[in-house]
Amino acid sequence: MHEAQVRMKVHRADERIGAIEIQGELTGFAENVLMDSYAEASAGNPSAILLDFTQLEYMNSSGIGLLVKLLIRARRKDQKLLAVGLSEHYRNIFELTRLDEAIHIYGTQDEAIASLGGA
Amino acid sequence: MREIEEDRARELPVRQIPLFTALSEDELQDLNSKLEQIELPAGTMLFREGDLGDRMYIVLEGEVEIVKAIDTSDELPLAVRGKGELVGDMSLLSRTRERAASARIVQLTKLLMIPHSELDAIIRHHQEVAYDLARMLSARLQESDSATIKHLQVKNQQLTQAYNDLKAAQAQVIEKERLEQELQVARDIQRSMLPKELPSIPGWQISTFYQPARAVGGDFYGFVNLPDGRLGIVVGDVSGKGIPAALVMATTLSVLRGISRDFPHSLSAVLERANEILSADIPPGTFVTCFCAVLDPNRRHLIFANAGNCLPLRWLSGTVMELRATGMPLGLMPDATYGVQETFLSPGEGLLFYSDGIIEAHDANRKMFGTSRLSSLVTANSGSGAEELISSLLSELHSYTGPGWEQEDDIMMVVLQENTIGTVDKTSSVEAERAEPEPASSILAHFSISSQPGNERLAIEQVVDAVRYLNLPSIKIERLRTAVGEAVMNAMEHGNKYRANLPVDIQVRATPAELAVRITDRGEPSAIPTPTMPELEAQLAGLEEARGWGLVLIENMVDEVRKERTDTGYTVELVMYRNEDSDHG
Repeated sequence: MHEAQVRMKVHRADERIGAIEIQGELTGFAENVLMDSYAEASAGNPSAILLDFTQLEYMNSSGIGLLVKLLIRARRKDQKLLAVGLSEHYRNIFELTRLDEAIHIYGTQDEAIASLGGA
Repeated sequence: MREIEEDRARELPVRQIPLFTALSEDELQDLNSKLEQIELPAGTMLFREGDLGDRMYIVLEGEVEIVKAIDTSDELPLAVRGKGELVGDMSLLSRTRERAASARIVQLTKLLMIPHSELDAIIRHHQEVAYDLARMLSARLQESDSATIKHLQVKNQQLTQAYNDLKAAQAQVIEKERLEQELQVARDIQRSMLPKELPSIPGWQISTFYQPARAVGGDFYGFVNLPDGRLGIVVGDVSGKGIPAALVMATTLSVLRGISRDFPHSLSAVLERANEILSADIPPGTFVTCFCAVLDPNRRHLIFANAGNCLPLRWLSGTVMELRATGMPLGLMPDATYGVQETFLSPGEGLLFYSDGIIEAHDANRKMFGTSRLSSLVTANSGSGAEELISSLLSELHSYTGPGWEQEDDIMMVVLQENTIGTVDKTSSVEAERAEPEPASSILAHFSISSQPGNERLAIEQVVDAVRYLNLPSIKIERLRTAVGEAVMNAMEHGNKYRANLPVDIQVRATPAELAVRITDRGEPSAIPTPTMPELEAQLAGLEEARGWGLVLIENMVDEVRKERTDTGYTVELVMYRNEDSDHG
């Protein structure tokens, strides 16, 4: 009934950054979609993965768990995870769980790209 | 030679007249000397039909028009007489000497007048003149006859046309009367199908208004008392008019009533079945819009579904919203489906069901009343009772449309108002203050969901719906969603082990000071896990499972979490304070 009410689009934000747009609900049901999108975004070994939460409708604790799993994979590849488009509520949640220390939050995609500094 | 003849002709115009060829030169001269010449301008009436005539004329120059029945609707031009022709000779034959027709000068004309007495004298001496005269007159008569016959033929055609037109007009009148009768019958059918009396439900006010338009009909409303004590409410509108529309309305109401007994617990099944039946039975192109609701008056629980009707309004102390459900009108698509929505009504809340007749009423400039005007009026009158609201809306409608407004569509309103805390009692302002309820806690909603993954979303939506009148800032609503979602998931997972047959009970309660959501599962004592605080770094390092964030969220999203173990299960109560000071960081 509530399986995978989520869509994710992968594109290249920059030569060093793979981006994943998360649309809909990030819950436990989104695991496969998220991991597949991550694999796609990681093709060509970008140094960072940008998570775009602009069209996120809902995220629960299982969704947070997924982000943690994602972080674990990214760290193995020495990849940074960046986030844009979080609403005030979900920013609060990132701060609460200290996820924001591992996944840096930016206001815009440009800011996120700029944070990587020189190539 | 010719010139001389012309001269002579000029001198003696009488010479030119065929009638006088038998006269001798002397006689002609004699005649000529007795005859007077006159000259008349165009438009002069030489003589009128019916006048007594004692002379005839010869046209020397110009033209004279001979007209029968001049200046009447039967006016008939007979001839135009020119140079050398006689005018006014017919009266010679008439015993009464009456002019048989009128003579009018067409252009400047010179005439020679010949008194009858002179003609008589000529005829006495030259009888052949009498015969010539007779022949000439006979020719005149024929000429007159032909013209008359033609004239009569034309008249006949005109009469036939007029007769046909009259018959057609008559047929129209008959048809109009027949339609009028049919409309009256249709109105009677419709009236008979409407409830004769309103249901009486303790704690609720119900009021209705119904005013059909003259020619259009089709609005209807009905109530069904369900065996379990709930009340079914239906309002709708049949397209089309006259007897067919009235019959469709009757059919719809009886279909809905009958089906609701078979499917009292499934509103969508009722509408789907009604749609199947109507799609098959009603004339093509006819359809029925309809909004159905079932109210549990004790729990203040309402379920509803819509088949293309206007969205009813709900209000409480100055806030107005819609009851939103969508679906195709009945009778259009045989396999249409209808989603059912549910909500809890707050104490004192009111509902207005209506049809588009009021929305589409227009003022003198053809501007429509519109839904926003209706909403504003409901807001402004939200302190009134059901009947007062209806009269306010009606008087606003009447001032909007102005005098002489012709009602084009039925006007229909059904109002339900929850009345247990007496907020609508307006006996006097002082009494009203005293009657103001103590900070009673109001139960805004009380429902259960089965323990299946994903159902926490339903719970979230119902809780958010239940608090709609509390005017919580949106950031608090977001926190509430998260807290409720996590707490319900915990209840389903840890308490009920995701066993679908075990429900999670949720109760939403408000006092002026706080909002409380109680979430109860059927968990056994041993089922409560001892929660450990998750740590991100530990999880990232693989030292912990990447889970357990629910409790962190819950405890940080609300102001207080109260836990309670009862005989039947385990309850978590999420509390959010309602005053500004409790700004939760």
